[in-house]
Amino acid sequence: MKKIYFIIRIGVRGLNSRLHVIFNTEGLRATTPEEPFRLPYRGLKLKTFLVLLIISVSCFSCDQVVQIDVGHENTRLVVNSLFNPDSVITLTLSHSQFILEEALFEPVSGARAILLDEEGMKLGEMAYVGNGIYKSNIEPDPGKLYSISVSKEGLKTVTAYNKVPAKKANVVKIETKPLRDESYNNTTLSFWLNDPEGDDYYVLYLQEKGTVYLEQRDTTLVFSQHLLLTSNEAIFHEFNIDDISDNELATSVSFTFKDDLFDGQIIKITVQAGLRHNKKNEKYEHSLYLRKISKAYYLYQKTVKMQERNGENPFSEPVPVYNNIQNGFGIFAGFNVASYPVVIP
Amino acid sequence: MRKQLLLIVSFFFACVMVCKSQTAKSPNNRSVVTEMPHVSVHFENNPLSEVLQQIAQKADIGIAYKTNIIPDKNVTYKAVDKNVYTVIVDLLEGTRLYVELSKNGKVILIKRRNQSYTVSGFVRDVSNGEALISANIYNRLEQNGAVTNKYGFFSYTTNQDSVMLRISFVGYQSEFLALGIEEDVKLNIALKPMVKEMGHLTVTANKQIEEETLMSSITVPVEQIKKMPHILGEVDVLKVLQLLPGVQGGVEGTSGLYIRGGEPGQNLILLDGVPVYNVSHLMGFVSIFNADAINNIELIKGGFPARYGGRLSSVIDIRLKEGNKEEISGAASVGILDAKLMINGPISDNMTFLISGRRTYADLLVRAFIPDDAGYYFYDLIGKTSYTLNDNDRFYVSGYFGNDRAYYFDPDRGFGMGWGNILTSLRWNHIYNPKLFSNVTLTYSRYRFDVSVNDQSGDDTNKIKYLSGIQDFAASIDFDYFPSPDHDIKFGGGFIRHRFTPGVFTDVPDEEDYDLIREETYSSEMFAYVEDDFQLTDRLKVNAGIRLSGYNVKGQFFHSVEPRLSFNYLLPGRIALKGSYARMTQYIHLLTNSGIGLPTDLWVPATPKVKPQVSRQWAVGLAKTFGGFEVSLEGYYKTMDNIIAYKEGASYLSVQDSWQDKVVSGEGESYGAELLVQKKIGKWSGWLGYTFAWSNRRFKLINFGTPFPYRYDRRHDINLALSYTPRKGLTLSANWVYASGEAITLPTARYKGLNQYDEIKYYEGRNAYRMPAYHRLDLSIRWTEDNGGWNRTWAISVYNAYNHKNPFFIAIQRRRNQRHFVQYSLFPIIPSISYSIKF
Repeated sequence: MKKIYFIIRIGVRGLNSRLHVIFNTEGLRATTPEEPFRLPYRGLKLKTFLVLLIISVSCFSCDQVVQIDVGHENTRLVVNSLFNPDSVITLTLSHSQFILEEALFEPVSGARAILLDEEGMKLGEMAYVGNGIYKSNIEPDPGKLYSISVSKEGLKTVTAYNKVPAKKANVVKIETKPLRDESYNNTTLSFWLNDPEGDDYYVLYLQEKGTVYLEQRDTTLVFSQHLLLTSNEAIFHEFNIDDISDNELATSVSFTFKDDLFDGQIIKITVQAGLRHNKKNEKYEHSLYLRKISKAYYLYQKTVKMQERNGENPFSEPVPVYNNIQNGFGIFAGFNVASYPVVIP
Repeated sequence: MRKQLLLIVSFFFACVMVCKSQTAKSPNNRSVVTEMPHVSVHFENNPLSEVLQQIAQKADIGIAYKTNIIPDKNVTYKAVDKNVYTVIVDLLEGTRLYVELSKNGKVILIKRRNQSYTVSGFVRDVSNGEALISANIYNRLEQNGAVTNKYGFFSYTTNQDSVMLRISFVGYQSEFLALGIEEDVKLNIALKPMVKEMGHLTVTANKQIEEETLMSSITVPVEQIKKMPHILGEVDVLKVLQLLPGVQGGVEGTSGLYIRGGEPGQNLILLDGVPVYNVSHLMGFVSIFNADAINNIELIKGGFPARYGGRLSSVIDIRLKEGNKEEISGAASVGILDAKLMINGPISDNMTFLISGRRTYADLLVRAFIPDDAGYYFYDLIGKTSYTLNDNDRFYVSGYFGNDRAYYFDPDRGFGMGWGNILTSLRWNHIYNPKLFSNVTLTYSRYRFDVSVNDQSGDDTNKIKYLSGIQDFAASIDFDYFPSPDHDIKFGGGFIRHRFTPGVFTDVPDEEDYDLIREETYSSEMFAYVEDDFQLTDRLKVNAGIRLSGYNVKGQFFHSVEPRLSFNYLLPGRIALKGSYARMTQYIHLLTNSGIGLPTDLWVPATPKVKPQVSRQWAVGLAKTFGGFEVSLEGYYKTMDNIIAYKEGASYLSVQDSWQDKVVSGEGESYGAELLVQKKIGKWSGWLGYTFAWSNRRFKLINFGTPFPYRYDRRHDINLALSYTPRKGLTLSANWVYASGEAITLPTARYKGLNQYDEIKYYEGRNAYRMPAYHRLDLSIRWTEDNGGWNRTWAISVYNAYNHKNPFFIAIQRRRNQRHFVQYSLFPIIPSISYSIKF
């Protein structure tokens, strides 16, 4: 019978050995060049061949730089502006970069930023005050729509519109109760929020203002900070899911939430925080702040947080961030803030 | 697009109906009739037998008949220049004779009988008695026949007094039987497997593709699967199915099946009729099906007959061997990954058994490198027994038990993760009469995934257990009724009781057991169906059916009416024009966010909040056999409603919410064309498949509501699978796979956020870009030695022979002081070897 031979020559650099492997119609044989066709395939020679084969193919790398045609995204203007009735409308202007660029986000000067009312009538031009910041002289009215148009030579003109929620959050009652069993001076704070009908979005935070007299230096230290809050309220879960520990407690310096679980109702919301008591040389004031924010503000915050959370995990779908800047990137959104003093019993 | 396809389908139906009206009254071979000679005759009260002889002489044609069937009567008849066929038909009027024409123009007179008789029985492999599924029984006299069902049973009814049967099955020598039929006949036909030296014998495949009514259905012989290259020396039936057109494989190396734009959870994978919920070991890299124990595999991608339902995208019907009826036989093999053993044989004259087991020894190898108290292993065990009570009753009991387990222990803490299936079934075949066959099935199946953590490092003992799974009890009855060769009627119904435990997280502090979330759901699914595969005209075959299904969950009842239709119209040149429509409803969902097919994927029920999935699929195609090559070309359009996905950013690990709060419902659309050229027998065998397809998704809350390509939306997919057997015992085989890059979401820009240090990435849309193309060559050589009653086989395979770095995922990374897209690959060239014996 005619024999068919397939010969594979295996050599491993640095090792003084070579093998011929012959497949023929009688079987498989491994031989050395000096002793062709004499060694039986059963036994050590075949094992040697396999070990050498595995070693010789294991020199590989599993990653490589690839070119992917994602198009070179043109630079766009980036507008970041949150506005409320307590201050004039300002915006920060920068521009975007191609994803593989690494430069810093430089502020953009020399742009023309116009503020318009809901009929599209010009309210005024915003003045550049440095560091990419443009400032108007308009304090927005609640419930009114404002739009902006920002142009810069060589870049597409961007537009955006949004409004401040018509009404502030309405807190009807606040209660505080110390948590005695804690080593830290924790307090339970409950408040009753009267939510109107319709979609409403909120941001909750607790501010502590303090004056501390340092006797040794004869100095009074004045500071203000947002306190760390913890809560097991279900309304905080959706937004703060990554801040939630095993025992369902969410921890954050602010809680963003929406009213889909209590629309049109009065709801009691409870959080815990480390509220400090007044002492001899220390005086503290605490205020509950409740921002009522526009839907755009909420979606932006939420998607930014989700994108951060996803990080670089290649096995999860990336989250696109909400963007309400036409032809550009960023956020232009209003909010209305209400504050309530908190008294520690 | 949808409208266009509807129009195309409607047009084909219109053509078919016109053709039907033209051919319904025609004789059996129109062209032969028109070419027959014309005669002028005049008879006055002559005996009919004499008249027929005179006509035969005058027209110079042959008229064949049994002498005793011509009635003793005289005829008076006159015709001038009339077609002789018409003359004979005229003369036979009022008798019980009718005319058949052979292809060479010979006239055959056949006596109609008052009563028809049925030839029925089983077709089996002569060497081991295994049922041959879809074997073809063809009566050359009437040019029609029957096909064996899933149990090897066939039934053929005729009103003639004799039959000439050819019984054929791919890879087997055909048998010929000539029988006089005076009563119902029971046959047990045994076919011999083909051996290469017997090339001179007639070898015929199953029913040719152009004769099959169904479309989008592919059977790959198990022997062919065994010849193909393996990964890590392991034969994997699901990976072979990935090489067929219309089937995408998902992440490299895994057993996931994405069929015609569908998802793995939309495949009805049946093992001996029991749905399998988890089909893989080793995190998806090895399928649970042990090829040594499998008798037949059928994949249906569209044109689903009414007997199948409950999933949207495909049916993969895997039938286990029954067990050798003649002698004890078996197979054992050792590969790089695992070792397996299969033994089967007779217990008594009417009872057989099959046992098959497999276990990886990866954990034993790994122990050389890592501590003894950590490891991973999988195993599976298949058992089956059949019992033949009498000619009309057979019983089958089969079971599958498989598990994967990864573990780590030290004195303070332990971790364990496991997943596995239990599948059991009891079946009873009963033949009521030669035309009516039934099968009753009772099944229990369970899939379970669990993670347990035991921490004793502090003062307290903390035990946490995560559990998800699904458990089914089901009962069904199916009937096959064969009233005549032109009809194959199937009907039946069933009931399934599901118990879902998706994501139950249990915390056990200080031995006090309480559940954070216990969300068990019980639901009931029921169905009934009827279908008929019938010959409407000489050229038109139709499979029409309807399936009614219902589903009861949490007090709400869903129901669905699912019409099914397939047709096959034989165009001139024996080219089959096929078309189909199927509506499918699925009452369970597979919730996945890995895209890989990990055991963490949750099986969840349709609920009042998360509705059942529904799909509609239209397909048209052409099919023809050229020599030994079956060629089919199909186009399809599929819509899917109420499919689910995790909300952006949601994960199965967040235990605070019910799974229902973490998902969104949406819709999918897929369409494309598929070409398959397949050769099943001969020295060279294999196939070439090409798919040109689109697949999109749309969810209101994902990608801001705009449609986006599905991850496995690959435009081109080419698969070439070849095996060559130059001589007995030696097989060379190769697969080459090419697929356009899968869809990927990549950022194209970065910009500053509200906070000074925030950097936001801009994504133009989900899955808007493509990874580089995937391609790979696998090679294999198998060499078998015959040692008397023992066969031993060496198989050497090389996976990814030219070591192409195929994309697994892409990330942005810094290289050489610049940011780049960096592609990570999974499998380089992997050689493997296995050794098996068969006895």
